[in-house]
Amino acid sequence: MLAFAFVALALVCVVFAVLYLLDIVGWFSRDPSSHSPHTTHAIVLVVVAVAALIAANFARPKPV
Amino acid sequence: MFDLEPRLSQPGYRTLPAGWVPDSAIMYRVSWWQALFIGLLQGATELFPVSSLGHAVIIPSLLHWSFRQSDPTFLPFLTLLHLGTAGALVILYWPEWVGIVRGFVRAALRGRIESPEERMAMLLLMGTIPGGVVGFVLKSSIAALFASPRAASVFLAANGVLLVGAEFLRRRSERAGISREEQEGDFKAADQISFRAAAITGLCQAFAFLPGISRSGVTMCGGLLAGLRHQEAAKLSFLLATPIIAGAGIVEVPQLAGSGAPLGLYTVAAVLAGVAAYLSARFLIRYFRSGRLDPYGYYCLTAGVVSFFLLR
Repeated sequence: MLAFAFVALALVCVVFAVLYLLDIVGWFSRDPSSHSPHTTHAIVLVVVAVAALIAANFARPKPV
Repeated sequence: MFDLEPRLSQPGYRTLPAGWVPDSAIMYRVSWWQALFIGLLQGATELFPVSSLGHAVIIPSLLHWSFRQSDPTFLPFLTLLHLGTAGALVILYWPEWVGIVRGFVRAALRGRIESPEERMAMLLLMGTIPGGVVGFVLKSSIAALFASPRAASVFLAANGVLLVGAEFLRRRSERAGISREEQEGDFKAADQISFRAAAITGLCQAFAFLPGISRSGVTMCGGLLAGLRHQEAAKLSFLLATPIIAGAGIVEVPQLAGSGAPLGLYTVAAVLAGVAAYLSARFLIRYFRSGRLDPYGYYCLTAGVVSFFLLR
């Protein structure tokens, strides 16, 4: 269950990373009205997604 | 340098026509010795638990240097200096970092920890992600604090209280009547810290985005309270510093490009910061064999209070 939660978190982060890159969202941006891609936000979200996938790998059931 | 404000009473500055926005690269040449001084200051204080960022904010104000710390190129300049110090840490701990990177890849793919390097890699991940995310979310509001050296002096004093307080709590866990080396021997190595303690310590790093609060001080305090030896707490602090500083550099340094800032001079300042940081780290590793955080705590408390009143 925990592994699924981490995978879901990773997917959410990837989705929002894409939204930031396409400039569809601008939350927590210094200038939300700016129309430039929020690359740094996307990078941070991708890093969190990778960390979540690693956590999911640790949390998944493993053969004894 | 950072969009200098003209000071008519100072030699070398001119009156600007009304409505002009000065181009700092053309109208005001960067003071090379100021940039190098801040670089040296940054590198020397980065690893000491005395808040390099607080000093970089307070000292120019005390010296009445005429650059605006709220300028958008000030933070990237400091971040470039941070990259210099991060480079020094990578060089200092190069064998450890090779093992940590290898261990990270193996453990991440396997989903299980089987060696001390793999454990250290995952501890650093636990310590870096929370602090990095929180700091990233808050940084836009925190950056506004750069405009207030008095706020930095208050945080610097608070940093001193934090260091002294952590050592007070630590002493309560130590056996009395034996040598400092024997006392330290009762505590753990850096890779033996729990994951929960690593996460909490890393989260505390987010407070280091406040000028005046020392990242290395906060992480060392966290390590001490988690049961690490002083030397190991310093080592954990230095290892935790590297990815978070490198990450901040990736975010902030590109803003220097195209800003008209003298990148060559800033790079030399960053190299100087790296050399100073390397020497500082070597000193601290030796110092913390038996030394404590108290002297740095009292220094921060005194410096914070004195600068608060001097900055009126």
